[in-house]
Amino acid sequence: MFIQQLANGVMLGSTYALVAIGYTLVFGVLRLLHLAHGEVFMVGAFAGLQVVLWWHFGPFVALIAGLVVAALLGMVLEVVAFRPIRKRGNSHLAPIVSTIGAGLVLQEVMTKVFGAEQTPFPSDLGKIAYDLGFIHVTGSQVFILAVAIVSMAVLHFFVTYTRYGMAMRAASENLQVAAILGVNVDNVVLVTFAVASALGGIAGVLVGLNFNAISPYMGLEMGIKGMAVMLIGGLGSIYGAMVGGLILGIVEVLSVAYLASSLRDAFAFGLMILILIVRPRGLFQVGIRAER
Amino acid sequence: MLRLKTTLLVGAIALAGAPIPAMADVTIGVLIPSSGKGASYGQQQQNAINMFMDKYADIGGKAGKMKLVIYDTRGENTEAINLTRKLIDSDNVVAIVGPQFSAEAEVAFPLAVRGQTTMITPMAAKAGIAAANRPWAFRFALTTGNVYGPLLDVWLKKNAAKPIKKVVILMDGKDAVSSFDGKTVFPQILKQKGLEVLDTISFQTGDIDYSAQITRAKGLNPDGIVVSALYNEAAHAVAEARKQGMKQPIVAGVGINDPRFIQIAGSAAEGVMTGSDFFAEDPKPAVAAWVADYDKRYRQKPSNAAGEIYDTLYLMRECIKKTGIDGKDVKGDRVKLRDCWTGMKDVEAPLMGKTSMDNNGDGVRIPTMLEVKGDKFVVAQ
Amino acid sequence: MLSSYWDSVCIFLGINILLGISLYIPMVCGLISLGQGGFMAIGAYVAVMLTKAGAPFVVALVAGALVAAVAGLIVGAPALRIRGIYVMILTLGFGEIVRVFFLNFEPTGGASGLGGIPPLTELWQIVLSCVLAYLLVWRIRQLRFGRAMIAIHDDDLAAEAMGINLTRTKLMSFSLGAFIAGIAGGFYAHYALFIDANQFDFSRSAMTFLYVVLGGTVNPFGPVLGAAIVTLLPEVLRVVQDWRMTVFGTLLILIAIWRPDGILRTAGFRK
Repeated sequence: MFIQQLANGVMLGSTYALVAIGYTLVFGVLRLLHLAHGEVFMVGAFAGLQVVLWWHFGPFVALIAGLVVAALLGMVLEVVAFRPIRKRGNSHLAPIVSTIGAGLVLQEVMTKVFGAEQTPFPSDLGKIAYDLGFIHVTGSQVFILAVAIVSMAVLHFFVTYTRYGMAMRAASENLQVAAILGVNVDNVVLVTFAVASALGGIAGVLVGLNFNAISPYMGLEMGIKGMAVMLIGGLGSIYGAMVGGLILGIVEVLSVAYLASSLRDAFAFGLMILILIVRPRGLFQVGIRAER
Repeated sequence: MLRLKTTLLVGAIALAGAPIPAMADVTIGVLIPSSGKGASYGQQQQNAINMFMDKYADIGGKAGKMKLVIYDTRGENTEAINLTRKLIDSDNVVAIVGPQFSAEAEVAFPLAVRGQTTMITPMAAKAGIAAANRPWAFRFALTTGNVYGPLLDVWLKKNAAKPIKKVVILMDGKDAVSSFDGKTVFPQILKQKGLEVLDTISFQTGDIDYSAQITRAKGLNPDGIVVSALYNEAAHAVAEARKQGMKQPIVAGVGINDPRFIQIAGSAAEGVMTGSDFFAEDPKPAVAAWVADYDKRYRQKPSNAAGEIYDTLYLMRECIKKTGIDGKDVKGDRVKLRDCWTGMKDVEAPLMGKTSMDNNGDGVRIPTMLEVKGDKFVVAQ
Repeated sequence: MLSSYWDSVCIFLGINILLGISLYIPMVCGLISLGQGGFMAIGAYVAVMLTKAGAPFVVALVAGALVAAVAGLIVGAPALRIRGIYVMILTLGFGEIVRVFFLNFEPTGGASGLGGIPPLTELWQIVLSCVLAYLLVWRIRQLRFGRAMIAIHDDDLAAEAMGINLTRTKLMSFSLGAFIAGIAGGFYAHYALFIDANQFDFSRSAMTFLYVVLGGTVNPFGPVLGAAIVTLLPEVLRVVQDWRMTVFGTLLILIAIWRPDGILRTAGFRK
């Protein structure tokens, strides 16, 4: 059973990782918390749902739909909720307020369109099961793992080898210097948001596919956990987010398996606080100085 | 000065040409969660309210019409408090139907007691809240303890071929009613019937991942599974259980009684049993007609929320008729309505049949045992 | 004792004002807490346990707030060594842990919550507390302690160089904020007469944060104004009942863009 729980944890952790990467990308470049990212994740899920419901396409198309819609939404949010603040002097707190506002708007709009309770996400993936003897996985879990791995690999490639990726890394080192060196900051920020949101959208569709239902409020908890994972991995560290997500997934699943599920949420934050005390810059020691 | 003159003028005209006063309206307050997280309950309830008012707004007798003052609590306790006060003090209602959630009822009921106004919640299922706020607070919904006894009997009988001796309870630890049922009510009744509870495993409202809990349950190898949760979470748990290959029979608490349970769980819901006093596929002609009407108007099947508020409003109207109040003496009318609800015995509610109120202020009816067949709930054989 | 609707709205407004002030104090020092809900919860539950055991209201309130203050010291300690953004996530985590704790702690009801609380809160108490809290914040700037806080906020290295004890000042401000949040919690509990873990969740902390950021982080009247706007706006917006959150959210975005430091931009006094 332990191996099975471990497998469960890895599946769950991959979705946490995808969402956390989104947070960390935005934070890395802008040094700002994007509190509407959870809602982007949610909208991506609904986009995937619509594709499946209306046009009866399969999971891959749903994934593309979620990815594209989320990326577009992310870019809109950047232009509407972040850029004006950046242009006006870059307050630290204002983006938090504006993203809370954006999150509220998204939640209400989706509630009006889709209803407040969970909407079933029809999928046949969940029915396929693979019994590998010592563990039992379903088609959707395998799909999640595969998509998560591919996404992270693509991201790694993008960040390391493409021009935009390198510009993003430069910008996250130091935004002003990057601008002086000729990086088009506005574009880089936009691309960052697009990539971060695309990953969030993918995660949303994966969650919908595996857990068979989505709601306009699913972004809230995922959002908070995503931020905790970001901190565990190190603010601004993509690999930290990946590893942190996996760790959190495994820790949570094990805590449910061997303790009580009601303590589950406490583990995410307990772990986070532990890291803050012991190793404040996160597991990967990347990103801005944590200490004063 | 102008104001005084206007008042005197209007007063003079009124006295001079005053017709015989028209029949007063009887004003009832209604609290529903039209927005926020409980919005889909609220939407269903609003639909049912509209259907009720179309048919029953006129009361007849000394009273004229039934007038409803409807407020949206957003599912928040703060609003429940503010709006209950508003209804009692500013709107001068003679009774209140609502609020929806048990937590809201917890904060609103004491206000009903202090304001000496009857308050009846159509759906809140938490045990003891009406009892703690006598004599003004009532609950229309059945006490879960009354349902689970007969439910388990039918479930065990149905599975007599492979007798169920050991069960695992899966419950929503975050939802007050589900966790109370899972921790107290079910274990008590199960023990009475000689079953052993191997473990009580919990998840939380809003959880999306149940793999850990189910894996743990699977490892215990029970004969049967008991699920105590709302339809959302129950559907996920059940789906996960079937996904992981658990084939044991499942019985669930009243929280699953909603068509969306089946929609979300899909084929995994097949055979799951529960008990209820309202379900959309009830073949009884009165219910079937009402459901068809609802479906035609709103293009969706009504849920428990719709049925319960409809019947509660109907019974309220019955009480208004029976006590002959006319809305003119608010204080006195409130007392009369309270007395009507107290000790109510076998009054026929259109959808759910004979209803009584017990000494705790909780509703008493005969529930039907249901099981999921295909894409709907049917009466369990 | 049954008061009218507006009486009730005012009491909740007062509680929100207290919460706003409770967050404003650490923020003057540069410590941003997204966990005031947690301190509020502690204050509420402790106060209720005491009044149910027969203690007088004032004693219970203060005791609850003191426990919250101690929690403030505990949470504040790790916050000393880390920067703004980390403090926010740390306090967010704290708030969640408190919520999960009370969700599971059976002696105070667990998921079923805690009811049957004696109705001891009255409007005059809230008004008095708000006035006291506001005076405290207003005067604090004249006191050495307050000047120390502002100095730290502006430049903590310089402040330290000038001999200000960073640790003590920060901890005290955090703890004082927690104390006031605890008082707010005690008042809330003895008015609503029923509490459960959900009443003190992240959205409570997020709303508190909004009161301060909206109203203005520079002027001590800011949190009061912010609390007033956010609390009363839903009542005003009942006309657009169905789209209330959308209107509210849009307003937040607009305010964040045009008034990033909050509505009240000036300090309102000669610095």
